[in-house]
Amino acid sequence: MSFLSLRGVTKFYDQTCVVSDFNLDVQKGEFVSLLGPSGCGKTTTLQMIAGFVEVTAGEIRLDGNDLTHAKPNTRGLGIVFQSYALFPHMTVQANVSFGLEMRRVPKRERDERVRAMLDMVHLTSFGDRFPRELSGGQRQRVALARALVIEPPVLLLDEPLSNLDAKLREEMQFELRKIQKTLGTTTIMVTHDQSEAMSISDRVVVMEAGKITQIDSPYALYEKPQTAFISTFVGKANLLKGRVVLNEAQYFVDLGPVKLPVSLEGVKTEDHVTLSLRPEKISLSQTDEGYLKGTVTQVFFLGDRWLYHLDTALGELIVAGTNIGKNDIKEGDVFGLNWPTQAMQRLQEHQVN
Amino acid sequence: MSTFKPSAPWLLSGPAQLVFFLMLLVPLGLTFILSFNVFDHATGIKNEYTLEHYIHVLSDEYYYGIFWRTLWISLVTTALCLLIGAPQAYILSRMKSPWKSIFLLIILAPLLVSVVVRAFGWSILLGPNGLVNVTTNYIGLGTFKILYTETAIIIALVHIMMPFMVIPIWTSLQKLDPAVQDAALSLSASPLTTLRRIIFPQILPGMLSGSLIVFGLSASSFAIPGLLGGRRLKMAATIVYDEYLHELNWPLGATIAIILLVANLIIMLSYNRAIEGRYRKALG
Amino acid sequence: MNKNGPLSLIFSAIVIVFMLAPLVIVCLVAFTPTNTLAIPTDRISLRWFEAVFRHSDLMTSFWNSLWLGLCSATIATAISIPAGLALTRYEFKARGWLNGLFLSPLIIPHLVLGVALLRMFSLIDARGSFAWLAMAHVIIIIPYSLRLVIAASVGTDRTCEQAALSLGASRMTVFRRVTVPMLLPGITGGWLLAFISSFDEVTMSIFVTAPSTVTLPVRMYMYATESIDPLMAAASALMVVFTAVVMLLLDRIYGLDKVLVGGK
Repeated sequence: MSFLSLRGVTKFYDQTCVVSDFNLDVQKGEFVSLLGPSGCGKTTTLQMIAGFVEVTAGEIRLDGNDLTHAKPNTRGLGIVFQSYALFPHMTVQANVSFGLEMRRVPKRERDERVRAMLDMVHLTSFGDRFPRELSGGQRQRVALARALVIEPPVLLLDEPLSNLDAKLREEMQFELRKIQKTLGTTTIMVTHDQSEAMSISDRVVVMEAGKITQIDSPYALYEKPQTAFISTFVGKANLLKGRVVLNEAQYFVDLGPVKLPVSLEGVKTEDHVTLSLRPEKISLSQTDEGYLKGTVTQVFFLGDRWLYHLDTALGELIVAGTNIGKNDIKEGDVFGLNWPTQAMQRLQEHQVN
Repeated sequence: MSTFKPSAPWLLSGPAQLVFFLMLLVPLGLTFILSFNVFDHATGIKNEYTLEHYIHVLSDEYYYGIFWRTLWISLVTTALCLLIGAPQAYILSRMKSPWKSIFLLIILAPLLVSVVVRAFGWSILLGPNGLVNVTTNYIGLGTFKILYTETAIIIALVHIMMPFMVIPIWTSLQKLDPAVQDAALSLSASPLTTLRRIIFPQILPGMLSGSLIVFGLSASSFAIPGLLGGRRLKMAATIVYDEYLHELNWPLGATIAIILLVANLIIMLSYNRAIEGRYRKALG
Repeated sequence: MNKNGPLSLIFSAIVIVFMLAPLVIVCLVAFTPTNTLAIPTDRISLRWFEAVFRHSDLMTSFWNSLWLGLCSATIATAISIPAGLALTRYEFKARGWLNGLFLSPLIIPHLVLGVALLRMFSLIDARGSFAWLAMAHVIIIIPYSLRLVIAASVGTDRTCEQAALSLGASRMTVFRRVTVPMLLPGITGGWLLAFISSFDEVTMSIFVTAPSTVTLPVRMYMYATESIDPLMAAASALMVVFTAVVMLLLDRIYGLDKVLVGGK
């Protein structure tokens, strides 16, 4: 049985459905991210787990206990809010020990546990400071310490890194994951940043308009996105549309200018398919090699890799290439484009409704 | 716009500075000097100077009694405004709109109506045949003499001062991050503990600010004791009026006025600064 | 947890009644047909309102107050605009001190100001002068208009002015067509608040007015301390209505809650 399970969790505000039939099983120690654009319902779902928003229908169970309608101050979960929500009139020390005070932990033990936790987030000497005197990154670590020191069964993170600048955010991502792995705390994080979700989660739950569209490990999600939205939201993708044709017992996709052999299941002739093709899977070679020709229209340098926009018979395609130290591709160059057929991922046609 | 011309702010605020110098600093200065003038009942203000007015006011029993009355009435008023105003502000902050705005407006709008009108209204309500006595009589409690007692003054003062207590507390409440209360709950604090340990400390500066304003305004209030205290219940402002307009002993009146002014300034500025300093470090 | 229980609502109801009671009673008693301060029970009469309009002293003082309010509010606002701009748009050493000075009338008891100005007026023989009385009111009401001008100035988007400049507008044009329109609600709201503050003012005015310049609140105060009859109630009721009209205007132009709470 899973540690935290949500069954059919639904939320209506008057007539508007904000979260619809949310089903998720989280194992103990797992790090799960809820990923999606603004308004997809991910924060509302987190708030329902935390108890600040009433569930309209469905059930939430933690370690077998029904949590669905429990008051938020009885659930004992650790929460890091987007604004950190530190008690402004209390020192860092007082903030972190507050949850332990509420649990009537004796002072000596409290102080020890707070000290150990502050060490873990690298804020050992900051106990006497007030939140106002701390930087954004420091406040975030205090919020984390405060949530973890109570040794909660589940840790909930609401866009914990969105207020930090890019470099700090990256550092904190790895810190967060390291701490989580050390403590083994089951964690659910809400974020709109796909690279953040991918880099530290065990599994990612993609949400759109209140519904779950895909749950997978980051690698599976990236390599096998199920819808056009997911393939362009998580990473970049070239979308190719075509028709399935049969030629000498081999299925091909007729993309117009070119027909490509495909290995797709459950297709029949005349099916219309949309295929997703990742930019880094395409290689540039001589003009007469490859499936089709492309002319470079724009070149972007991103440090560790290049991004090329090419004009082809299939429209504009994006190609990514690792920076191996060569700077020889310019606008106007013509190349042949090649890619492995397995790299083309079939997407579901129907829209999320 | 930036500081290209360093003279610009001085030119712009010049008219205001002139008005303030002429209509505030000069009169106050003159009054300060006046408080040292000798007064002769026959000839009036003389051009000699003395400290006797200050000594007289600060040692005579008559004045002590009035200062004492002023003090305790102001304290009681402040306490009542706190006890009623703080919970009321908190309740308001948890109301849904449109009720929140409507109720807030009803509590604050009387500020814009003249003190005379409001005091007069209370004198009707608290009179021997006023609504209050009619009600108590009706339910069998008999009638009370409320008008022209300290109680009437306090009731009317609380009414006048309530908005001054509610506004700073309300402002403090508006600045609270609601997520902070959620955080406290998530850490297993009960709603009562959250109120006591999270909300209350954060609105303490507002409560303090309100208390100082209410106290200062109550202590120097003139129209309320005039209309609701009658001729016998005098407060500090009343004796200033007496000296200026009845006794014509302006120096003495000036002395009391200066004492009132200094007391007000000291209370407002220094105590506020001390406590705010402690809170500024925490709350900013 | 974020809902108010029945106890809280009853408490609020009592507070509301307390805050409205004197205003309501005054309006009710104004309609009494009798000579005593009683709430009309079987019929209402307008006789006391008629009496107010026929009372020459009251009417004279009303016009005094009205004219005084208009003049002093306008002067106060005219002074507040440049002062407010100076305080919010320039960094200079005396800024904090000047800010404190300009807002100081808020913490100086009107009583003290009243006797201080009385002394000065007597020395320069200004008692009975309408102009000096207006200036006395100006000093009391400047903080109100200044505060709103400052709030408006702080709240304006300075980058709008920069955008206008970058598009070729002269400084004068920017001031006229970008800055002033953005400040207008604050300026007008400040004027209205200053006006009603002047109109209401009684304590300082008692000391500073002369028989020829008596204002309405002072006249009413004198009347109320001598005799209590429904004439005062009618005059008070009319003042409540007058204030309500000003409040409506203030709400339309600026927002009554913003003005009273002083936010934004």
